[in-house]
Amino acid sequence: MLNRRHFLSTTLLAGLTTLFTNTKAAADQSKKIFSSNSPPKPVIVSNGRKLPWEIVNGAKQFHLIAEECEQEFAPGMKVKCWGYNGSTPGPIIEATEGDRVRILLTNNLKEHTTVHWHGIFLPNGMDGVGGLTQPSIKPGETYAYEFTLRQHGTFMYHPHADEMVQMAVGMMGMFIIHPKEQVTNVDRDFAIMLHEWAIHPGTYRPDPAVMLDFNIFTMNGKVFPAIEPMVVKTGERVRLRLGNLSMDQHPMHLHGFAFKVTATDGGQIPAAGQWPQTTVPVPVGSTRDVEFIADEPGDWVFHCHKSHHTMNAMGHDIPNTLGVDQSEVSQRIQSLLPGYMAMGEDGMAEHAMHGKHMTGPENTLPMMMGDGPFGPIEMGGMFTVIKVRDQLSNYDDPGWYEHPKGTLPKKW
Amino acid sequence: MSKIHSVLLLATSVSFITGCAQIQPKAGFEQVEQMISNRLNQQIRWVQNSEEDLAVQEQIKQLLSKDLSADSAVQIALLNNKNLQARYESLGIAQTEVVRAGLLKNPIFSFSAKFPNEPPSSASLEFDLIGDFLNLLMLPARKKFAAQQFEQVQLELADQVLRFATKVKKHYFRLQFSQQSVAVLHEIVSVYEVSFDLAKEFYTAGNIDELQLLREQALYETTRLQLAQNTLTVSAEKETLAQLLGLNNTQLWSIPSSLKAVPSVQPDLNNLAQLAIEQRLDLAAAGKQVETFASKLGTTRNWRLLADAEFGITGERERDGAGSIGPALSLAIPIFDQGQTEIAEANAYLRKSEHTLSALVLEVQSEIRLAQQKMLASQMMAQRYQSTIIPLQEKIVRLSLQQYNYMLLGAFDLLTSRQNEMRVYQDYIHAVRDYWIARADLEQAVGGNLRFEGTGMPQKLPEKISNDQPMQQHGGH
Ligand SMILES: [Cu+2]
Repeated sequence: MLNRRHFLSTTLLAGLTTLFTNTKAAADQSKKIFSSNSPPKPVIVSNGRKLPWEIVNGAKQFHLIAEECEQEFAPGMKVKCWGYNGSTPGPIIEATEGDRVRILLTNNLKEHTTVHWHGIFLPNGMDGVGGLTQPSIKPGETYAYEFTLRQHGTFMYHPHADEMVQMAVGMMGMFIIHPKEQVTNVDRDFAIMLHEWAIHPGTYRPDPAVMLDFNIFTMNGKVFPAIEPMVVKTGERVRLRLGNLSMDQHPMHLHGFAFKVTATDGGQIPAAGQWPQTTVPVPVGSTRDVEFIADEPGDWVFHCHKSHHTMNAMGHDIPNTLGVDQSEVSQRIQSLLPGYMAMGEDGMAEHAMHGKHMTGPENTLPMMMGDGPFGPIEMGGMFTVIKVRDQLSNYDDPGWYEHPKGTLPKKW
Repeated sequence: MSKIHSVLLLATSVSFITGCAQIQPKAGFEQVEQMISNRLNQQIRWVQNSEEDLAVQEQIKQLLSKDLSADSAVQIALLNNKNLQARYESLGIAQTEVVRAGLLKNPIFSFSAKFPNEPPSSASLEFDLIGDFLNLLMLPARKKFAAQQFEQVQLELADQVLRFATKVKKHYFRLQFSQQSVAVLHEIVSVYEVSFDLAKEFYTAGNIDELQLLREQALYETTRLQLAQNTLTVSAEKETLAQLLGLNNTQLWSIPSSLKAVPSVQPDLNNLAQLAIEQRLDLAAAGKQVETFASKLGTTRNWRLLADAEFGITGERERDGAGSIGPALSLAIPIFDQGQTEIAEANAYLRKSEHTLSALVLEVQSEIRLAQQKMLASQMMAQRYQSTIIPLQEKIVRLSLQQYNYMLLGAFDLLTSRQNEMRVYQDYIHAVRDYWIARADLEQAVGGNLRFEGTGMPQKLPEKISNDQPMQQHGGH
C-alpha cells in the first residue's frame, strides 16, 4: 500500500519522480511471487531535492548540470559552492535496480569536470575518471553516461577531475538504487550526505587548500538548527542512508535506539554481520545504511560524535581561557578596548548566549546555536533531531516533544 | 686777519655740510618693526630700560596665562629673547657707522719754524692747514653709502628676526608633537601592561607557559623604557623652547596637548617665487649691497684722478716779517697710477655682490620648492592617515573584536590590534607635525606669511580613537 503521507512530505518535483518510480515499482511488483513485500518506498531527503527524469529512448534520462551555486548553510551564512543543478549536495538520483539510466552531464563550470558513479557496477568506460576512462568534459560540453543498474543500495556521484578542489567546494550527490522489491519493510527512508568545509570566518568560499582544519560540518548542505528534523511515527522502521565524501570519518551516533548497519556502498551486510550499534563510523568515501525501529517516542538526537563536528567555526589557535580569572583585568581592558567582554573562564556554554547578542564576523555563524524547549541546545554542524511521535497527522515538524509526567529529571 | 676769519668760516661751513651727526637711540628700529609686522603680524620691542618695558612684561604675562599658541609663543620670544635684544644692539653699532661716515677727516695742520743761525733775523714760520680734498668732495656719496649700509643692516636684522621666529615655531611644533606622542605612548603602555597582567592570569591558571608570559613581559618592559625615553625628550624640548622664549622655567607655562589638524584650506601656492622676491629680507639686503657697490664703483670712477689730492691753506711769514697766505693744492700726477686698482677693486666687489645675490635667488627658489614639496607630502600623508589609515585600523580593531566575540581570536591578538591602531595614530601625528614644520619652513622661504584664499584657520585635530563607539549591538537577532 502506498502511504499518502509520503506525498505530503516530499517536494512537488520529488513527488512527481516518486509517482513514476512507484507506478513502475508497482507494475514490477505484480510480477513478483512474494506479494506480501511492498514495493520500495521513495527515499526522503531532508533539505534536499531529487533529480527528475523522463523516459527517453528506453532509458530513464536524468540531466545533471555542474555549476557554481550559492548555498545557505543556515540563516546568516551563504556560501559560494560548486554543486549540481543549483545545490550542494546535488539532487539525489533515485532509480531502481534493472533500470537503464542515461545521465547527461552539462558542465557549466569554468574548468573541466567528469562524474564518477561511486560504488556502482558499470562498464569501465562509464566510470567517469578523467584522463583514464574518458576525456574530461570541457566547460560548455554535455556528456551522456548510460548503463544498466545491476545492484541496489546507497551510492554516490562526484567528479573525478580536479577532484580535490571540486569536492572541497561541494560537488557531490547521492545515488539511491532501490531493489525491485523492498528487502525489509522500511517506513521512513532518509538519505543524508555528510560533508565538511573550510570556510574561514568572514569569507564566502570554501578553501580547498585546507586538509585537516575544517570548521563547518553539514548534513545535506545545512548545519543545525537549519537541518530539518526527521519525523517518524512510533513503531515505524527507519532507514538512514549516510554518505561521506569529506576528508574525515564521521562517527554518527543515535540516541534512544540501537540500530543495525545493514549495508555499505559495497552491498548488503548479511544478517549475521549486522552488529547492534549506536554509533556508525561513516568512513571517507563510503556509505552506510542503518535501520532501527523507532519504538520510543521523543526528540532523539542524531549527530556526529566528534564533538568539534557539532560546532560551527571557532578559533583553534586561541589561548585557552578555561579557569582564567579576568575579574581584575577585564575592566581595564574594557577601558582601553570598549566592547571587550571576558569570556571562557568557566567553560564555553556562555557562548551560546553570546552568539545571540554579540556581533561576530560577517557571514559567520556563532560557534553554538539552537534553542530547545529547556534552553540553548549549544550545538551546530552535524547535529539533528529525530522526532518520534505516537500521533502524527502528517510528517511536518510536530514541534518539541511533550514529556509525559514523571519522565523528566527532577532537581534534587 | 680777515683771511684767518675766512678760514674759520670755511671750516664751520664744512662742518655744517657734514650735518650735526648725532647718535639716536633705537634709530632704524622702527623700520625693522614695520618689516616684521608686515610679514608676521607680530610685534618686536627693543628693550632699553624705558617705561615701555613694563608694558612689554605685562604683555608677556598676559600671553603666558593661557596655553600658548604657536603665534603667541613666537610673540613672547620676539619680546623676551635676550639674544634677540643683543642683535638689536647691532643696529646701534651700525648707526654709529653712519654718523662716522658723515664726519670729515680732520684737516692736518702743520707748522714749521725756521730759525736763522745768526741773529737778529727772526725766525721764518710756515704753516699748512691741509685737508683731504677727496674726503670733502665725497662726503655726500659717503653718507649715501653709509645710509645704504645701515639699511642693509636693518634688512639683515629683520631677516634674522624672521628666521628666529621660524625656529621658535618649529620647536613649538616639535614639543607639541612629543607631548602628544608621549600621551599616546602612555596608552600603548597601558595596553601592554594589561596584556602582561592578563598573561599572568593565564599563567596562574596553567594555560600558557612561562615562555609566553616572559614574551608579554618583555614587550611591556621595552615599551615602558621607550616611554621614559620619550618623556625625557619632552623635557628637553620644553627646555629648548623655554630658552627661546627667554623664560626661566618650564612649569609656569604650557602649550595645548595636541597638534592642530592639517587645515582643509591650504595656502595659495601660486607665485611663491614672486612672493619671496617681494618679501625676503635677505634678498633685499643682498640687493642693497649690490646697489651700494654699484654706486661706490661710480664714485671711484668719477674721482679716481683725485685720489691723493689735498687742498688747504698755506701761510708763511718771512724772516723779514712779510707774511703771505694762500690756498694750497697738491695733485697726484696720474702717470703711473690712474686709479685702475681702485676701479678694479670696486668692480670686483660689485661683481661679488651680484654673484652672491644670484646664488641667493637660486637658493631661495630651491628652498621654496623643497619646503613646498615637504608640506604637500606631509599634508597628503596626514590626510591619508585621517581619511584611510586610521579608519582602517579602527575597523581592524572592530573586526578583531567581532572575531574575539565568536572565539575566533584570542584576547592577546585583540589587544595587539589595539596597539597597532595607536601606533598608527602616532605616525599620523608625526605627519601632522611634519606638515606644520614644513609650513614654517615654507613661510621662511617666502619671507613671511603665506597668502590664503578665504579663511585658512586650522580646524581641530580629529578625536583620535573612537573610544565611545559601541562596538557590539546588544539584543540583536
Ligand atoms: Cu564528524
